[in-house]
Amino acid sequence: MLRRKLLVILGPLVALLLVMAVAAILLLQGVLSDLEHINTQAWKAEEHASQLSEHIGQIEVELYELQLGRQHRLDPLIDTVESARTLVNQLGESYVVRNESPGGAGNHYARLRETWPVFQTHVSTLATVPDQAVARAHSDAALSLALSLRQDILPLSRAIHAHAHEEQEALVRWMRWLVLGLAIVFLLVINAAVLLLLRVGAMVLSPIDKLVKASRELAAERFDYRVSVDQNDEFDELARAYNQLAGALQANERRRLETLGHVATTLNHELNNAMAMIELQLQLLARRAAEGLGEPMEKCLRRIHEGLERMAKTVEALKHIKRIVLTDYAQGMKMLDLRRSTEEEEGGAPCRDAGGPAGGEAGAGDLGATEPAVGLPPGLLPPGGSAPEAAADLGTSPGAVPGTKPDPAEDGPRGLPSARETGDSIVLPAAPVDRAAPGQDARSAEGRVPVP
Amino acid sequence: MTRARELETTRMRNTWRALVLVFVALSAGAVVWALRMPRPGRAADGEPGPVPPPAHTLRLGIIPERDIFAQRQRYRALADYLAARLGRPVEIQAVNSYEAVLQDLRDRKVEGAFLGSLVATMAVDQQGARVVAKPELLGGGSTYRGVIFVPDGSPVRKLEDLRGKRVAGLRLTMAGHLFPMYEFDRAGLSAEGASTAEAASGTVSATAAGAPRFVWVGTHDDVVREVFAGRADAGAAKNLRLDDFERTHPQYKVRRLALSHPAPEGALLMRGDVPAAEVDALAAALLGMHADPEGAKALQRFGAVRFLPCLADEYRPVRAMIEALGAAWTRSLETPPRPRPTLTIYPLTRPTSAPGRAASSPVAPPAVPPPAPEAVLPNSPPPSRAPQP
Repeated sequence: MLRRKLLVILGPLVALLLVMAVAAILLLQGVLSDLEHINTQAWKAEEHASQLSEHIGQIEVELYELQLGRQHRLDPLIDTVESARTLVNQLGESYVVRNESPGGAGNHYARLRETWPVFQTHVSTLATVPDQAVARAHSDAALSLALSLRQDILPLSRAIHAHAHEEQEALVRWMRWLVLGLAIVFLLVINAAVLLLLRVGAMVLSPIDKLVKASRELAAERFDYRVSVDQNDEFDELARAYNQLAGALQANERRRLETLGHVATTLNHELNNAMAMIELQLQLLARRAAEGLGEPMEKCLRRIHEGLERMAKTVEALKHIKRIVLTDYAQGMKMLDLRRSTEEEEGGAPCRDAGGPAGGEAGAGDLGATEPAVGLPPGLLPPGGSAPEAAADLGTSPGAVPGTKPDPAEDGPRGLPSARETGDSIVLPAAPVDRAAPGQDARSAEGRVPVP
Repeated sequence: MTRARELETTRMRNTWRALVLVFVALSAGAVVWALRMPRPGRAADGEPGPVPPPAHTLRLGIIPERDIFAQRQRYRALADYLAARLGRPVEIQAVNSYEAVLQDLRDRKVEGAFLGSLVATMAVDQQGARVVAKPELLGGGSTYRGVIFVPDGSPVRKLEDLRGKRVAGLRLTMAGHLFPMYEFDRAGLSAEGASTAEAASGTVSATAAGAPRFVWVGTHDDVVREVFAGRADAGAAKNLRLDDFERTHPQYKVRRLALSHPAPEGALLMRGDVPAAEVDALAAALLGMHADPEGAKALQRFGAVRFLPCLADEYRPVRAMIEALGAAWTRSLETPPRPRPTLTIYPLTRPTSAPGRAASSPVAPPAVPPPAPEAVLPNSPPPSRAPQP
């Protein structure tokens, strides 16, 4: 398709150049033909006229030789006369002579042609006649005719020369215009060719630019970027392939997040069960401590409770990961920055490295941190009081994990069945807590242990 | 999609093939066009100058019987055929007089010559030349006769009326020299071989001065032309040339006063010292020309049907006339013609070197008669060049 487009665009251009080259060659060939015509016809005719005049002189010389008795061979004279007659015939074939211009070369040639046979007869007689009187008569006649011939040859030669000169001038003018015209036409064609080539270049480079930009977007993990190329050629296919790739990558990323969410849910479920069990025990211990175990036990229990709360929050946060943001952990290892991973970032990549740990912040799961690195959404914070107070508020539902956002979708048989599945001997409270409404009395339900 | 791509690829491949073929065709056309471009015209070269013939060239002389250009053209066709047939170059050498041919034979400048009956007789008798063959002409016959004639409107009715008249003749020819002398002698008009100048100068006797005066011209055609141009009262020429003139100039009528015995026409004679084998080969080529298609074409251009054998005995009438004239004939041969005048170019009017001074020149031009009428007779077509069938 792209090849066809290129062929459609470049083919006519090449054909046009070819046609122009052929036309230029034909025109120049015409000029050469005209020049050849001038050389072979006009200048040749003038040359013949000049040679004819020379031959007449040569004939006179030959006659002298014969009459002086220096030789008796007639062959040189005959050869000269025959050559001269041939020249007369060739002059008659010249197109300049054939033009019937009044008073022009044609009339002179006509007289030349009439005079020549008479002159030849006189020459023939003079070559052989021994009688003095006869020779003189023929000699006078021959001389007179020779003069007449020369008087016709000279203007004939001038007319031919003038005609040839005119033709040559006309040819030079035509050549000048021809060269100028060809130069202009070729310039126009070259300009058109340049424009076409630029268009062809744009046809190729424009989609490539789009694809390069799209590749960069893809490299920056902006999988929702799509390329639109409307050229009905291979670039369209490439754009579609790219879009497919981006879609596949985007789907892949979505699956990853979903998987992570599933993992988080699993963790949430499993840890919540264990934490519920521990929370319940702590509540029992707290109750007993309040009855007589003393303050240190209560403090330790409170800390344990806080730790459990943190764990619950962390697990809860895993369910709300929107993107993967990593941060440095230790010794080149990286960990998930839960706070940023659960935030909505404008135009940000779904996965990026947040760098090292910030001051005062720690990643989620940092064991040495006193403050959780988790920036829990407001809904996950306890409605008020500390965890134990929240636990106390919850009353008979010590297994509830305050501060956790109840997720009705996550409710299920995880709490009680899991406790039974792990084989704990915990006796759970009767009714679960409705987490959809934080602060809501967990016992307002059916008295079951709230299941995170 | 794959199928469409394959179709597209196939189509593109075919397109490229077509383009390559077009390019090859255009290239081939360009090469052919370049090869067929006319080469720069070369200046026409004139006729090559005379080149000495190779040593084994057969040189044959010809007599100026008629128009010298037509004469050489006739014999050139013959020479070309003989060259091809004999395998050696054959060169035709035209000379300006019958004496020159005899001189060339004597000086061994030619191996043979096509001669008139009188010079052939002289060549046989004086140089031992060998007669080879004679042409049979297109009109039939291989002989010619001498004829003395006048224009039809001439007051001359018989030979005796030619006393003191000018007779155009051709030296060393039977028809133009021997025969008229013989007839004049029989008619009591012995010209004694006097030239026109001697008769005009009065150095001969009155009786001799009353004899017809010969006006020597170069060819038999010139004899006829001089008569009808008025520069001669009568003419003595070959009947064949006179007949040809009558055919080409029907407006001119001729009255024949005397006709000679027939004599062989334009036979080929070879020098006596030419090897017999060469002569025999030449004779065979000539005598067999008519049987060869190329030879027949050459004969056609020459103006003959075939060549026939010729014997020296066929020149008996010529010898008879020579013997009858006796010493007169010998004297006529011993009296050379006056030297030809040089072709002096002088203008009819010459500008003087100073006003009032008469023109002078190293060579004073002789008294020039008024320009004669055209050599070509008025109202006549150009003289024929080719032999008439």
